[in-house]
Amino acid sequence: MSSSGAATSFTARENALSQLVFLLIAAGASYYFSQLRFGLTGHLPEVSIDRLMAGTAQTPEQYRVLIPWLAKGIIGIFKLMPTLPTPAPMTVFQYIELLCVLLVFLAFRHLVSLFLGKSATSALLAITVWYGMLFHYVIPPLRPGPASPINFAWWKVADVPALLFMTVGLILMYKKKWIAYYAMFVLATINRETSCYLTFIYLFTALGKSTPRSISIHCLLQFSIWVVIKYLLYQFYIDNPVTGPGPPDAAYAGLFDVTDFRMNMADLRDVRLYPVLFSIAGFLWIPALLLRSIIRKDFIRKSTIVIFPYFAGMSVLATLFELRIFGDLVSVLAAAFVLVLDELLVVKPVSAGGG
Amino acid sequence: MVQAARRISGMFHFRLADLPKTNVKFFRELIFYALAGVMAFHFSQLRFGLTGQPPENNIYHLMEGTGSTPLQHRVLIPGSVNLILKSLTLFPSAPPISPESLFQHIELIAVFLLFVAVRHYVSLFLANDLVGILSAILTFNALLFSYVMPRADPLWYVHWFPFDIPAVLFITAGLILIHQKKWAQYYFLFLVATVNRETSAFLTLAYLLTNLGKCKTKQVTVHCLLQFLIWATIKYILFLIYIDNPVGDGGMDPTEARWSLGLYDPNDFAVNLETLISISAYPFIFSIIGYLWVPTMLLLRLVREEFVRRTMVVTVPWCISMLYVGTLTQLREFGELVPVVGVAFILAFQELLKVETGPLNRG
Repeated sequence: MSSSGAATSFTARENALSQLVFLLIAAGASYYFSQLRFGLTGHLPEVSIDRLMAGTAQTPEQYRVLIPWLAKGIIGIFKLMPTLPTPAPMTVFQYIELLCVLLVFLAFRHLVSLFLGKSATSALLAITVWYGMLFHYVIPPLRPGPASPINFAWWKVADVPALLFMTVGLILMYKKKWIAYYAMFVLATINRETSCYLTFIYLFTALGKSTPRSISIHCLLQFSIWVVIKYLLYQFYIDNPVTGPGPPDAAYAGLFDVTDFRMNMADLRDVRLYPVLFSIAGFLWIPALLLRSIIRKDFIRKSTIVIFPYFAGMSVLATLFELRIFGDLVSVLAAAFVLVLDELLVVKPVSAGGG
Repeated sequence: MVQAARRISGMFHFRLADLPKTNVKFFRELIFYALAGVMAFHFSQLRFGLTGQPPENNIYHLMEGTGSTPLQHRVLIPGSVNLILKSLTLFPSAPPISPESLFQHIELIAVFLLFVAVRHYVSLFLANDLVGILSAILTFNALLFSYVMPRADPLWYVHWFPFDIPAVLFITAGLILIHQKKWAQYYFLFLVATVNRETSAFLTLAYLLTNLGKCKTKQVTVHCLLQFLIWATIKYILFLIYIDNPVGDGGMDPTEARWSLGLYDPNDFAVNLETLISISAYPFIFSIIGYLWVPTMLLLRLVREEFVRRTMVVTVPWCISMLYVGTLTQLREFGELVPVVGVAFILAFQELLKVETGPLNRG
């Protein structure tokens, strides 16, 4: 790399080298992450990959069918070619996840570069998204106390792809590539219902920038897609067992577990659990939110507001201290952290900003 | 509707800048110390939940002085715990405290102080105090790779030793004191750091590298000799105290340990070479300091602070020596490099921003 003195830009060779280094780190870190995921997490028998592929797992896990369908498709293709050995389902899932982690790296770098406009800097800080991911998908959310057992993180097929869709969704939304966005939104919704938070982000970032009519149409369209997909999946798996202690015909009908809210409120009263909760995105969310006012890029600054409806939604629909449920937010929060760091380290001309 | 939404959005528009200046400083400090406390607590919980103690060198062996050398030579924390427990016997009404709890509390305090020290170290080179706070968060993330995250394949949990985190703290504080040339405090810290772990020798190397050509040769020689003398004396005394202890990871008989004499395990080098042949281990080995060392090394020439650039040279002999005296797959051997590399990373990043933003925007 160039020395500091008179250097104003990198040569093409240096840029190529920085990209190569980024790709090597991304590949190495993805591999290590994937190894940790399959070594340090637990699988719930009720929602095992075999059951998910067979369509007999508990709802709402069974509604998250994109990856099980994809794995089934891949295995089916292998079966059409008798000369090739058919891979084990677990191997297919592991490879899909490895690819997703790598794509998260690439997508996050692209997302950050949209706002920083700096190739090497964006590549350098792409690692922050990975740090965040570890806290949601690998590190056990330990409950303090001598009698507390280690709660290993659950491995769920939809988790990492959901983060990937969220990151890609942010890019497409920012670039206003609506056809690609809606195609991605459909896939993201089939993967996991948390895609609806992309609509929230759209709403927060578009308010005051687009016409109310345009905003209403986009929100309604996304809501309609979401509801239709959810309803179809609900009908498709209507006879499946339901997560939680309730009967299958309970009011929540496998859409969420009603006992979660009570449990979450009880957990929130235990101050000792707060360090776990605060470790969302590797603690990056704290400066990202406290210093969000210094972020000049409207899109990222406003998109961080999604943490509030997300947290409220998860308080009712999921187990808060199972940190993996917040994994979708990692790219939003890590991007905000990167922009905060950028603002603090570089003095910019007054004209710079917007976004 | 748009107005209402804007009003709601405005509710979340918390600005530190809107507060009076004295309040801003107070809130900044409050937030930093609260954050450092929470991160230290969480780190401590993870350390005690996700690591393991080798039975032959657990805290009880180390406290009794029956652990294997060289681990037993690192007596500062076990000795402090013994002292605290003995002091507590003077107060019969005081509630009993288990050694585990004491070790955990000492580590908790060490992690907390480490975050404070890292912030201070960064502030020596960057005027913006907020970057120092953010650096503490990055340090937290980087520390995980040395002291919490296991090797995944084969699954191998990190070994917990009481001297590890204090050693990182001493290296950070030592670098601050070398930079500030506060020699009285430095020598006191150096003494304590050497009783904690022999890696304090790298502080001498850092001193040498950062002062060569900057101070008089005589002065540099005197400082280096003095530090070496302290180091060698402490190591020799500890060696004599624990001369009959078992040696190395295998707990070898000291009479058969020959030239390693419990100072290091000569088997490590062969094991490390074997590890280096296995490419599948590379993603794990490269995760030292959360992969930050790779871009930092490549961008090192961008760093203008000579002190930071020169201290980075320490990483080379460190890594080479760890090939002989440590186990590569135990990334905790590289934990002390976290503040060295972490600060260089932040400064390299800042310079990179300047290069990529262009000459007009340099601040």
